[in-house]
Amino acid sequence: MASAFRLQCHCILIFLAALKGETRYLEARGAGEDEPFLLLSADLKRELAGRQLYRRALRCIDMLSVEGQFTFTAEQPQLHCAAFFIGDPEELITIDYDFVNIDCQGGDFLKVFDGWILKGEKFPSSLDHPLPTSERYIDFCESGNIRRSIRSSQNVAMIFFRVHEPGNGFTFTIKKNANLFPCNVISQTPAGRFTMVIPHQHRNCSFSIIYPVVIKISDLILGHVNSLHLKVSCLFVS
Amino acid sequence: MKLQLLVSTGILLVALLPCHECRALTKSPAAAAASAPLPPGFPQPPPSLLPREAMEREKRSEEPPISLDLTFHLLREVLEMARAEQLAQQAHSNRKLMEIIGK
Repeated sequence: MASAFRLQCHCILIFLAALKGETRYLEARGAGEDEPFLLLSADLKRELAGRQLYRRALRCIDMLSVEGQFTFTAEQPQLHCAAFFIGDPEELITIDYDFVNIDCQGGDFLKVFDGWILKGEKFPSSLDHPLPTSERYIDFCESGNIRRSIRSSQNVAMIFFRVHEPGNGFTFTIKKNANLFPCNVISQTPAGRFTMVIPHQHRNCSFSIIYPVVIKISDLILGHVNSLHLKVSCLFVS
Repeated sequence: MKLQLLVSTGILLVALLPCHECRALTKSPAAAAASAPLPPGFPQPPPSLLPREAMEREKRSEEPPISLDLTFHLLREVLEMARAEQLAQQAHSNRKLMEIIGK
């Protein structure tokens, strides 16, 4: 085989391996992150995954940041309940209903909200989220629109629920998926460093912290301004 | 030589075709949700109910959004509890991992 052609083939093979996609997930996890699972064989990973579905009971007011299966069973009428979900900035939340036993006709409801809403204030705000507010609520009781699997648009989501009858309730599974270019983020921690990359999308994005912190902006790239490039990265400390 | 060049070009073109993941980034969540078919076994909404569904959506858009009157202080408290739970779960996973590796 001619040496030139062999060199071309080698280059193509390297290029194909890079584009196969798996390396993107390693990059998304971050160079400094300690991920021992990557060293395991497929059999060991399967054995570990099979053992590891985390389960617990859901409280009326709850916050979940882990994957797993959560069950709410009303011991008494619970009329004002909500569970918040939060993941890492580079994650999306998926909610899968496994079992639902509520009386929709009797006034019970179970609604997923794409984001967080607190005292009427929404995150992301209406200006930043791609959907109108009414479409951010996914109602289990809504006729003709039973969605068993719901994915959030950012790293937070929440459910509102009301159960009148003791013994009624529901079970769902939370999973997290990678979000390559997070746009609206709530930080779980009061300290850290975050860089937001918005590739050629004309949209509003935001980064929120619910702690009192000092934010230092270090690098910013906002397109071209008189041929100058400005870079911003964010460092926040409590 | 020409054949080698054509083969190389063909392989490069296949490799550079846009991937499904990248396409998903340009598709809005609303469009994705609207275009996703219902899973098999779920009843398809009959056409006669669609106007009623549109009325329900309009009614919902006029209602005040459901919200919770939780203070930021309490929100931070439950967030701290969630982080502690996540750390405990991670420690448990690491312990299981070491047990498996030790076999």
